[in-house]
Amino acid sequence: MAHQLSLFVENKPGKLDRILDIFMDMGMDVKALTIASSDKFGIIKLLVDKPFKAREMLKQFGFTVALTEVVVVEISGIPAGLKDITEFFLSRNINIDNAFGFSFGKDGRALVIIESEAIPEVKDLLVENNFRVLSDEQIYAL
Amino acid sequence: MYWDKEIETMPRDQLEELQLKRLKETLEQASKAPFYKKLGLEDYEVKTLDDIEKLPFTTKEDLREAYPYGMVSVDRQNLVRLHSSSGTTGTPTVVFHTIKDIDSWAELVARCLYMVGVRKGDVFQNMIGYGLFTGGLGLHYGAERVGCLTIPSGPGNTKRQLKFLKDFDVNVVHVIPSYALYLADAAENMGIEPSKDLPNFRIALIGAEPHSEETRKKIEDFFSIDAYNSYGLSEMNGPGVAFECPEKTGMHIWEDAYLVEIVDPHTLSHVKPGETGELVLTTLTREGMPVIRYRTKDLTSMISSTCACGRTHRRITRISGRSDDMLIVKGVNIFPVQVEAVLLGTPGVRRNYQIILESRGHNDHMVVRVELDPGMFAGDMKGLENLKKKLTRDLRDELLITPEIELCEPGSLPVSEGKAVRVIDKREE
Repeated sequence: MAHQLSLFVENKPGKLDRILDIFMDMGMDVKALTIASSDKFGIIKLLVDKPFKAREMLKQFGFTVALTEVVVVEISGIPAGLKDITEFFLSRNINIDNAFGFSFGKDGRALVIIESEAIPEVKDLLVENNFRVLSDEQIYAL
Repeated sequence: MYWDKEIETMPRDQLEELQLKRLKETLEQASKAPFYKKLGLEDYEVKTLDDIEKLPFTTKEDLREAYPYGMVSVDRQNLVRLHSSSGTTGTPTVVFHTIKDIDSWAELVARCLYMVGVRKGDVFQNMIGYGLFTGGLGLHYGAERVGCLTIPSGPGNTKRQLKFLKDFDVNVVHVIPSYALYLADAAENMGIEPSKDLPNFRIALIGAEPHSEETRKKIEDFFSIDAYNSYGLSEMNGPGVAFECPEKTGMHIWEDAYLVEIVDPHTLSHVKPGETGELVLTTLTREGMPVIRYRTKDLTSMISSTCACGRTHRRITRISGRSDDMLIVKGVNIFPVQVEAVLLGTPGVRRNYQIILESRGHNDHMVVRVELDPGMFAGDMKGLENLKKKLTRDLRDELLITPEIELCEPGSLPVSEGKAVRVIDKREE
C-alpha cells in the first residue's frame, strides 16, 4: 500500500518553500504534489520516497502532518485506462473521496492516486481484479 | 482540618458582631487617610452592618487619584511594604502594608492553604510572579507560615519548573491556570509521566485569571491532583481573600477580614440574594490602608447555604467575568471565558485561542482563532471543515452570535506565561 503525506498549513507565502528546504536537506524525493486551500488554511499532499521518515522529520520541525494510506494504480492511460477503474468502482458502488492522476512517459502510461473511506477493501478488490496497485517502493522504481 | 477553628466555624451571629466591631474600627482608622478625610468619612455613622449601604464607594480611579500616599492612614514610618496592581495604563494603583497587615495577610493565606490540605513539611513551588504583583509574595508568606519548604520559582522557564517539580518531589504548586495547561503540554512533550515522575504531587492552587470548570478538570486529570480556585486582588491584599475548600463548591470569603456586598453594576444597589453582580469589599482588619466599599469589577454571586466543610464564612461562585473585560459584540455581552469553555470541550483543537473583533461595514465581526490539535489531524479537508462547523455551532449556542472560526497551526498563537491577553479589538470607535 502506498502512503501519502498531508500537511496542515496556514495559507500564506513561504510554507511550501520551507517544506522543500527540509526535503532537500534530507535528500527526500517527491513524486507528486497537490495543494488545496480553504480560505485561511490549506492542505498540502505529497507522495515522497520515504514517507515515514519524512513524517518524523516534518513533525520535528513543528508541522502538523498526517500519513494516510492511498491506492496508487498504474494504468495504460487517461481516459481509457482510468475508465476501467471508474467502471469497476461504479459496478460496486464505490465512491472516490479525493483523487488525482497524471500521465507520464511517452507511451501514455499514467498513475492515479485514490482516497476512499474504504481504502484496504478497495485495494484488495483492485488487486484481485488484476489492476496494478503500486507500493511506495514501486512508485519510486518507475 | 481547620487552621483557626474558632474563627472559621464561628456562629453567624458572633461573626456579624465581630464584623460590626471591626467595621467601626476600620472607619475610624480610614478617616485618618487624606483621601477619606476629604470625603468626610468621619461624618458617616454606622450602627448596624446594613448601614454599610450609606457609605461611599471606592473605585480604582479613586486609588489612582490618591496616588501616591493619599490612601495611607498611618504614620508613613510604620509602612513596611508597597504592592502595585497589574494595571498597564496610566497611573498605577498602590497598596501599603504595616507589619501587622503583612502578618494578618499571611494568616489568611495560611488558613486557605491549610483548608485544602497543605501541611507543614510539604514542598511548595510558587510559579507566580514575585515583585510588585501580589500573587508571589502573598502565597509565599502564607506557605512559610504553614511550614512548607517554599520554592520561589516565579513564572516562566518551563523546563526548570518541571525539573524542580520532579527533583524536589513537590507536593503543592501555585500557578496561573493558562500556565498550568501550558505546563501540562510541556510535560507531555518532555515525556514526563505524572503518575511515575511526580508521585507526591497533590495540589494546585489556581487563580489570578478567570478560568472555566473545564480548565480545572484538565489540570486535575493530567497531573492526577486536586486544583483549587483562589481569588484575590491587590487592593484587598492579593491572594487569600476567598478560596475553595475541599468541597469545591464556591470560594469561602473570609468574612472576619472582609465585609462582602454584591451590587448591580449599573444601579449600585444590592442585588437579591443569589443573584450575580459586582463584588464590593471593605477591609476589616487592615490598618495601613483600609479601603471602604471597593468596587472590584469582578462579577460573582453569593452562596448563603451552609457548606459541608463546617465553615460559616459564606461562599462566592467562580468569577464569571469582569464588568470591564466583558465584550459587547453586536449588542451581546460576551466573556472570553465562554469561548474558552467551548474550546476545551471540543476534541481536535488546543487550548490556546485569540478573539479578534473587527468592523465590517457598520457591523461587528468576531473571529476566533484556534490551534488545531496535531494529534487529531487525519489529513483530509472534510475533517477540518466539519471541525469548523462544529465550533461555529457550539460557539453560537454559547455566545448567541455567530463567530468566524480560523483554524491555525499548532504553536502559532501567542502563549501567555502571565495573565492571558486574548482579545484584539480592531473595531472603529
